[in-house]
Amino acid sequence: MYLNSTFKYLKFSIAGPVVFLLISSPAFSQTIRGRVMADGQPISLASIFLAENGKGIATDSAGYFKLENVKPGSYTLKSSATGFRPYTRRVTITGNTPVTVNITLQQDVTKLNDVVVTGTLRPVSRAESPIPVEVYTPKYFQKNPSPSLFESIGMVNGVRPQLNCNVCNTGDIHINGMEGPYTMVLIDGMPIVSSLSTVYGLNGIPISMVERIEVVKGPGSSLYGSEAMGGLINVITKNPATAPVVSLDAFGTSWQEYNVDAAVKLKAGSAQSIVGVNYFNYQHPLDKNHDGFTDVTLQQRISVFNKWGFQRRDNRVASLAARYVYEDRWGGDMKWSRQWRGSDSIYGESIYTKRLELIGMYQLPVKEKIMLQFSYNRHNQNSYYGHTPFMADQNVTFAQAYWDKQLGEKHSLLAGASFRYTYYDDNTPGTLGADGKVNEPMKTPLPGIFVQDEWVFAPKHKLLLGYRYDYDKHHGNIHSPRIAYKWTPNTDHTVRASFGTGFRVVNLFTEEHAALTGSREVVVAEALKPEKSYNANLNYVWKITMDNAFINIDATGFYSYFTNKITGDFDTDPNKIIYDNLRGHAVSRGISLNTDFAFSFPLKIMTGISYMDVYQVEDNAVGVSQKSIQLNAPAWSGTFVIGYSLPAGFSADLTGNWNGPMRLPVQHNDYRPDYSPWFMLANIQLTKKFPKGWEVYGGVKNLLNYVPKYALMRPFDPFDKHVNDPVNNPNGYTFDTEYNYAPLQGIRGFLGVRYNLFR
Amino acid sequence: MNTIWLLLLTAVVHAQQEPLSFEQLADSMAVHPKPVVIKIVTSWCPYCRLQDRQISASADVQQVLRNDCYFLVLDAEQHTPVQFNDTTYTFYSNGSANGIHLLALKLVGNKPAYPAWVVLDEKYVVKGTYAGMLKSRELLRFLLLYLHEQDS
Repeated sequence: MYLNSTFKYLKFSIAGPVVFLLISSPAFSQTIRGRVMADGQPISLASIFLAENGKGIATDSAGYFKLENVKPGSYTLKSSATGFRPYTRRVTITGNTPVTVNITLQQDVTKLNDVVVTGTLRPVSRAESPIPVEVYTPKYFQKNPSPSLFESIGMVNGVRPQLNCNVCNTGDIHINGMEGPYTMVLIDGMPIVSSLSTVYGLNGIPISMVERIEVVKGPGSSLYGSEAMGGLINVITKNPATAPVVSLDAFGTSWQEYNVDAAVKLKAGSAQSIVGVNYFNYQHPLDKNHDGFTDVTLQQRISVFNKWGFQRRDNRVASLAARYVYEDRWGGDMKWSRQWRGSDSIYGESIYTKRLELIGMYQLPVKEKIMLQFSYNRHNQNSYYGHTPFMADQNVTFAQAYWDKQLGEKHSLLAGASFRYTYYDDNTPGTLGADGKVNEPMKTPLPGIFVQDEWVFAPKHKLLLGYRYDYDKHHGNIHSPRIAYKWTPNTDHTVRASFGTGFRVVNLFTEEHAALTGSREVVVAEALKPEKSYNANLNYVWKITMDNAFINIDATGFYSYFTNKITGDFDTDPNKIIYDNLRGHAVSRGISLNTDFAFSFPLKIMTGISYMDVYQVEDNAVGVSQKSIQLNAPAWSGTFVIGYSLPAGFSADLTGNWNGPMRLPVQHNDYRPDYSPWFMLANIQLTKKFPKGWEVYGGVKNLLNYVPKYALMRPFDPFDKHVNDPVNNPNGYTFDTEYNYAPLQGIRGFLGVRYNLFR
Repeated sequence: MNTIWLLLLTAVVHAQQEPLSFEQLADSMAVHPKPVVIKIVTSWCPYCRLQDRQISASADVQQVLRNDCYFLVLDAEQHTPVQFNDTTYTFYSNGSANGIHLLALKLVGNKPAYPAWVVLDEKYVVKGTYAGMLKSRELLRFLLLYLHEQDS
């Protein structure tokens, strides 16, 4: 067989030259023979290859090879074998003498797979769906490692983690300029992170439990229900079947931030399980801007994650996951310590968070594909903002069943029903009875049904029709339709057009409540409408393949209209909180462009640019509508990731994001500018891969050392005790922590190690 | 005579073979066993497209793929089941729309990277794998190395 296949190869590859040689110079064809050795041992199955004519052969079991019928000339002879460094030398063939080449190969510390580093995991892609879904894997986020999803998500074009408070570093995720409450965060397709937990819950999701993250910019209520108004982020957790047996990722920074992620896979009968632990610690107060306050909130966080996957007949799905997060964070005066918690002498914001999540999925053992999904989460927050306490509890129970049916060749039908029950209670008048004594937690049952059909109505044309109906006790019937269309004329071009709607039911959770004192009656306006959004977007993906480069251009134009915003009115009647729809609307419109470059050499470039115009139109006191630019929504913003793989298992990544001016929350006659300057946060990382799944990485974050010039207002008087001082405070400034457009954390180094052992 | 040489050359260049389907493979193997080369790709992978360019640029690689083995292409995320070596492999869902085809999982293991090359012998034993794009010369070297490995 050996001779046979070799002969066949030679026959075909040399057929041309042989014919030619027979005519012109038959006598000069020669043989190269030799032996391949390493450490005195013969190497079998090493390849021998002439670069000039593509002729090749493998060595036999004693390391010998013979290349016959080689035309006279000068050749580059290459040899390689698994586990050895490639070998190259020049060979000159003259006249009638056979040439003998003896080769000694050197051991290579890296495996064969690592010598040529073009292997790739999907870092970013668009799903097949007519709805434009962007998919990111942890590989993408590892290019600038962060301890939590909240920070990492900023690497996505058009998505901005916005810190709303310079002291406690709470934040929310803005998609296309719209505030956090309009962004829905799902875990495994279920509403786990909502309302209260959007503020701190996002910090507790370690990248290590993530298999991939799906981002939809634009509403998705027709499938996901309430809250999916501006966009959604769906975190898909790792599958125990494909997870590594052991994984470890630990890093530290020069600011003494430490993050450890560790996971092991267990097997019990037909079940497989991952147990993962994430621990983040930052306990080193720093005040580099000398305002007397911590620059970055001190944090200690532990998250334990356990997911079970069960092997069932016909690959039916059954999984159960649980996660527990505990977090202790504080920020404030550098002199603060726990004894000052809740006092009005030394200012500090201290938040303890406890979270429990349960997620289950079960496919019924019937021929039809019917899935049952359920989730439960409990979020408990115990916090003081200065001397203002805020104690809140939120439970969300969710259950859903859907039937996934392929009807013929052309229809893919999804129909289901869901029930969501939210319980919310806090220590504010918002959840207190009118008499100020009886606690009245908010209970929101929200049943809904949905149907969706993905219809291939003509070759290359796909249409998605979706509709959802929900019933809410305040709003009554809520309808959310959606339509999306995808046209793929060929593999190089894809056009998507979609229209979708989103809604959000009234929610009594508002941090403003914490500041209220006394008892208030909560009044929900008679004909309260749910908050609604309408979105249209057009997306075009163009894939350009050249001989040595590949370019993917992905352009989206979007227009979203938000209306019926629900706000609590505290002023009309001091004994009431009146919830009513705001007269007015908000618009988010713009264009985003993602361009990815891949080359046949190991350079990869991914860039994203967004231009958007986000504004609100509201009626003022006399009924005249007034337009205002959305806060913290820069017109121009962008991201970039540039990766290069070097020999010997090294790779380098340059990542960053930049923002144009954005409107900021200022006080009357504020000395701080209304708009932020242009700025860029850039990071660089070098990674070295070692055999057996080890990786060491290190680099510099915030390479340009960008820190905002202004942050807190009157940090020396955080309790506003001396505000009424016309001499020293003529403008009547008050303490505020909201003026934020970039982290207060300057340049810092980081170093980490990763280990992945696969079966 | 030169014309014949030219004809031979052009015949070689233009004879780009279509990959075999998995259904055809079983029949072909029954009649004439040969090593099997599987290229594992996904629809979204840019390097898979670059890889195809590298194949079409090298007549030698095409010859090896056509003559020395049965050459197949597997979409690692396809939903259609595949019959391979008397076993049926299906799509393995991760509880949502995404997942991996079990044949791809079996061949490339837990670290999917695309394109992936797998060389198997006549008895369907995996001889060599490579995850990543290979330039035409490296691909030729890789194929030669593992197509010949079985013989010694």
